[in-house]
Amino acid sequence: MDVKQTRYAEDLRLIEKYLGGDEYAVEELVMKYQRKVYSLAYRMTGDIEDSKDVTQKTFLQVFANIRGFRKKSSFYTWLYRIAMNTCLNHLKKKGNDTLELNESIAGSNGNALPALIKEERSSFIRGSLKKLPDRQKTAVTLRAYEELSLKETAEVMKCSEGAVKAHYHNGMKRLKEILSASADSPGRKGEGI
Amino acid sequence: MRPGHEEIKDKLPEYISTGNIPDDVKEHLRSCDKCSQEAFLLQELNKVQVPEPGGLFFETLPQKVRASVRQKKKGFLFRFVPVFTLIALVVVTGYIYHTITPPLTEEELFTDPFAIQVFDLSGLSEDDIPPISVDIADDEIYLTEETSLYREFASLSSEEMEDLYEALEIKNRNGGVL
Repeated sequence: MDVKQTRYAEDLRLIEKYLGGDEYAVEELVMKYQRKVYSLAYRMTGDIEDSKDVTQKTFLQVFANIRGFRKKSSFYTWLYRIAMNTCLNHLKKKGNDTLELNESIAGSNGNALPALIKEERSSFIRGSLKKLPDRQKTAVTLRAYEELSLKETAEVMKCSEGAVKAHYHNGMKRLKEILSASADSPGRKGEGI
Repeated sequence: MRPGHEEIKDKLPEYISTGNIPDDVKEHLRSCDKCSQEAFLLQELNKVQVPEPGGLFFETLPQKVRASVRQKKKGFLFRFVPVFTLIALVVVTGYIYHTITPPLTEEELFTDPFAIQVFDLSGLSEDDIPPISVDIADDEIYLTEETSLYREFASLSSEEMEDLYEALEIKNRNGGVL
C-alpha cells in the first residue's frame, strides 16, 4: 500500500468514526490537514488573517457537507476542492484585486529569468502569483505546491486533465512574463508587491 | 524507456516538490531550456515561505471546529423543538378537554345544532334496536289512515274533484244524505 492509499484509508476511518458519533474524529482530521489548508489559502490570498479565516471556513464547510462525500475521490482532493472554492469566494467577496496583465509583457526575454529571480524577494513571486487569473492561479498553486498529480488537480478543479495542463502552462508562462517584464523595467526592479 | 519532453513537463511539479528528480530527467533539464526555466521557477515558488499564523491558531483550531460542529448539530435538533411542542400541546389540550367536559344532556343534544355526540352502541344487542325497516312494505310506515286519505285526494283529477265537490254539496244540502 503506497502513501496515498494509506492516507486515504486513514481518512475514511476517521470519517466513519465521525459519522458514528465520535466528535473527536473532527479534531483528528483538522489536525491532519490544517497546515496544508492554511498554506494553500496563504498562497491563494497572500494574507495571514484571510488565510486563517479561509482555513476555519473550509473545515466548517467540510463537516457541514461530509455526508455528501461520496468516496469517489480521495478525501484530501475533496477537501482541497472545498478549500479552493472557499478561497475564491473569499477573494470575490473581498473584491478580488487580481490585475489584468498587460499583454505587452508577452514576448519578454525569458533567458534573463534565473538571474532576475535570485534578486527578487519571495514576496514578489507571491505577489506575481496573486496577479494570475483565478483558474491559472489555482492550477499553478495545486501543481507547484500541493504535490497533486494532474488527475487529482483535475478532480479538485472539476475540469479535464487537458484543461488543467492548459491553465497551469498559461499560468507559468504569465509568471515568467511578469518576472521578465519586471527585470526589463528598472523602476519596478526589487519592488515588492 | 526514457521519458520524453512532454511527459517531463507534465511531471515537473511533482519532481520539484518532492525533490525526487530521476537522473534521466536531470539530463533532460540540462539540455532543454524550456524545462530548466520552468524547473527553476517551480523551485523558486517552492522557496516562498508561508508565515506561521501565530496566536496559537493551529493549537486551537481543532477544538474550535469541533465545538462549532457540535453547536450546529444541536441547532439542527432544536430547530424541530417548537413543532414538537406545538403538537404535544394540541394533543394534551384535546385530551384534557375530552376528559373534563361533561357529556351533553338529552335536551342539549337535540336543541344544540352544533352539539356532536358519539353514541356508544357497543352494549346493545340486535334485539335492542327496533326493526324499523325489516318486513315493512313500501310506504306502509308512512301511510296512516289520515295520510292515505290525503294521498287519495291528491291523486284525483280536476274533473273528479269537481264531481266530488258537487256530491259533497248535495250531501250537505240534504242533511248529510247523498
